[in-house]
Amino acid sequence: MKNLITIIVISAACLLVQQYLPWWTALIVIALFSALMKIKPSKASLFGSFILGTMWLFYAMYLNFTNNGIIANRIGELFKGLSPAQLISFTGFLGVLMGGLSGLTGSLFVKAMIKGK
Amino acid sequence: MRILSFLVSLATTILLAYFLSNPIKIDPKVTIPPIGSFFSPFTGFWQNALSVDNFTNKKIKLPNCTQNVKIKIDDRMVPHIFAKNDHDLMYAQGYVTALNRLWQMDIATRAVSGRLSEILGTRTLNIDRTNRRKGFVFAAENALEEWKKDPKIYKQLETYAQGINDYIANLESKDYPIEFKLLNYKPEPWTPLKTALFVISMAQTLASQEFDLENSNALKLFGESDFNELYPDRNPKETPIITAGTKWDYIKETPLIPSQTVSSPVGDLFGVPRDVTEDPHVGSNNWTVSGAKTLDGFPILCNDPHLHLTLPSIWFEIQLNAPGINSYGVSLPGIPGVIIGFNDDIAWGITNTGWDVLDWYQIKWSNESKSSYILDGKPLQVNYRTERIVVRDSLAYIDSVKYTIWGPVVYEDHKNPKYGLAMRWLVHNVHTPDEMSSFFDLNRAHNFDQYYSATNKYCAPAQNIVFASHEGDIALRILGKMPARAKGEGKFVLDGSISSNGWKNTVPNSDNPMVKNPATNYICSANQITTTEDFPIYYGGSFDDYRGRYINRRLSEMDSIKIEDMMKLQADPYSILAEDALPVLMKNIDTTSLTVAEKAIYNDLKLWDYKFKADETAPTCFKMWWDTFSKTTWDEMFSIADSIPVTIPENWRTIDLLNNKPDYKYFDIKNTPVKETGKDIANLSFRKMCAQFADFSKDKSNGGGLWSNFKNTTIEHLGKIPAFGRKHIQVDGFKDAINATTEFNGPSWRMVVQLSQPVRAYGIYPGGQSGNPASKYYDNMIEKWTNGQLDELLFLKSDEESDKFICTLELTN
Repeated sequence: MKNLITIIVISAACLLVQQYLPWWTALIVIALFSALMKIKPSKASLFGSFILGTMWLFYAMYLNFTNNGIIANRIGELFKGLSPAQLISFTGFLGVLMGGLSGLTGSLFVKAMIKGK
Repeated sequence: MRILSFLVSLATTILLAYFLSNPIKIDPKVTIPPIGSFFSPFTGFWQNALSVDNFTNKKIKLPNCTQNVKIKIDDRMVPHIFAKNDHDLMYAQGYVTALNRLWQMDIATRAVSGRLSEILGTRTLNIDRTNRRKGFVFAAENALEEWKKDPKIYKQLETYAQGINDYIANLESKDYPIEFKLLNYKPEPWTPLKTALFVISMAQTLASQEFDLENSNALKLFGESDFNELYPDRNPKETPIITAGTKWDYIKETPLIPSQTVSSPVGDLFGVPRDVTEDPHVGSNNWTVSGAKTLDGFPILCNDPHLHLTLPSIWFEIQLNAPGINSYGVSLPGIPGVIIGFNDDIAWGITNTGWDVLDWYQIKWSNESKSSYILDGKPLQVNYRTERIVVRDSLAYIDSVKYTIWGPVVYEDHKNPKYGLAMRWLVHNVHTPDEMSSFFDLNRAHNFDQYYSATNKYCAPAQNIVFASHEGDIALRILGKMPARAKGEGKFVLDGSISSNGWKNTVPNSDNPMVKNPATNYICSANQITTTEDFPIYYGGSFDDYRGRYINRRLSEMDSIKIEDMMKLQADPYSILAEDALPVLMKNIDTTSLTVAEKAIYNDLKLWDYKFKADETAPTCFKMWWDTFSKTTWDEMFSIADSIPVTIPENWRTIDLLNNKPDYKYFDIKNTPVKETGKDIANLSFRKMCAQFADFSKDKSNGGGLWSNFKNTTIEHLGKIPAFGRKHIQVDGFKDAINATTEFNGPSWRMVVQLSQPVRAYGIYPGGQSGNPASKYYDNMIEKWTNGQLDELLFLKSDEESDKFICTLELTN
């Protein structure tokens, strides 16, 4: 239950900043919450990956679906013939990678501060 | 240890985020946009798909809207603007144009103003330098200075700009058109100067063609008598726009031009590299028939301007409605008003005139630093104009351009450092305060007199503007200020050291050629020569020989004309070039020595009907043959073209010589010991063509050598992004046919208007209303355009309902 609340809170914050601010502010949000909520490193990277990964993956999927794949087909052609599915996967992968790293960094920051004293 | 692992994790995250936030240069020509923001579905390209074709009614609050404006969008995505005053109408036109074509508006004015390098870096620096040297910004600034003197019209331009800028102001970076994201830059505010730049860029496309250097070189290389034989001024088979027998007694205001001889410099050939085979293919057709020739008794007016085909398309369809105006047609994103279109009572269409309004003057420097030049025996200081070109990821480039009394020095003659070449272009400083009110008034005109006074204000680029009215008048005027030239002036490079060596005045529009209600009951212009030889004012230029003749022939044969007949004529791929050239070529072929394959091609051509149809092979063979024949015949010119530009004789002249003078010395190939005749060249080029065709048709992807595969019509993206363009369009047509599709050019808008009441109008262009490549309206009209079909246009008298509307945008204060 606690995990679920954590995920919901971070997701909401991520969604909010991404409406108005550059994409990388989501990374700061994930790192910040991972630190403030003192999440363990393994869990923090897992949550970060899950949150940003699914968010980017599903949003890209949704936009692609409502667009009948028109823009994904064009952008795919631009990137040496990637299919819309591959573009969506790559978008999700970027979220997984960067979300995970941010979660890990935030969590390790807390550890470094506590034990470093 | 814990600190270390934190630092490693932090560094990795920051480095990766930094890497994903910056563009990556793969090679000098390819830069990948910042991957993070480009792929983020919240900011990047996915965002451009968000609600793209989801049309819902919206109320938009805008600061500079004075009263409520309704913009109704129909099912072809055409906006119909209903405003309560002129201010709001211009404002809304700016707004809705930006809404659909913002990036196109940015890039279109960037090239002409020499500002490509700002976004593309050093690879476009040379293009920017040349465009700056040609004084395009200078021309736009001169225009703007004039326009400011007429506050009423200038205000219209400012209001239009404000509409665009209020749209931009409401954008966040995630809403930017996708090209801004790909090229990683931001939209900037629109200004009346940009409208001026757009006008200048149209003039660059339409009114800068000349062959001065080529002609001068040809004269020096071949001598005067050969020159006159190779390049006659007039084609005896021509059918001028203004038919023979027109009285010129209305010409009053043009000052008498002294019959002085203009002098050209003697000496070296001009080695300025220009691509002589380059054929801009910009041409157009317009015609109108009076009610006496139509089934329903109303005039019909047709227009299809041929331009470089791009996505987004150069045209944007729109209806403009406010008290005093109800017009429909296509607009140019960047210029307020409808450019080609109609209203309840009249219709108008344009084609390019082709008169020569650009001359080159040889400048003789009077000192080594080239800071002054000789004029009438005395040295005269040049004026410097500093051009600062901002280059992305590099230092700014400063160019000091020298201006003479003729214009900017564009080329330095490196072979001969004593000389330079200055460009004198009418468009540099022909502008008048009320120039822009010409289309403003035309949109509001209801009869011939109003058309006449509206178009009197038109300056540049010179156009043939055809007209038809519900009252039954048909007319065509040659419009644009023209240089009042001495005979022959402007054909060759001129001596820039004599101040009397060039035009001093311009011809007012009221003295330009015009025709109204001719006895033939039709008028046609297709870039052919304007008048018969007896027109009292001298003009030169480059004119088309074949489309005009064919349209004239067809219109003279036709009667009880229906709208559908006109649509069919616009898509007609028949070419008189083939009709004239092929029989002459064929009769020279020695059929006894042909191989089986050659004989097959010969027979195929013999049966051909001169129609350049997409799914036939004969047009491919003819085009290959004609090109080879011409290149082999004119080897004297083509062989040196890389270093010395020389004029190539026109096609009609080539046919004429083969037919009547087959022993003409130029048929001989220079670098062979034997002396060839026209017959030899015809046979030799036929066999070469057969081999070339066999080679081409062998390739499976060429469908056995089909014309459409050989022609390969392509609609490029304006920024040449291949995934945003359309390749291999299987469309009929040929440069010298009415349906003038080539590899990159073609009918950019087809319109047929019947002046009944209500008006019945049809139109189509090879693109779509949306400039967003994520929209299905980005290229939805290409299919129908390819098939020669036109859409019925929804033209409403007032703000009434129609089931064709898919949504309404309401602009409020």
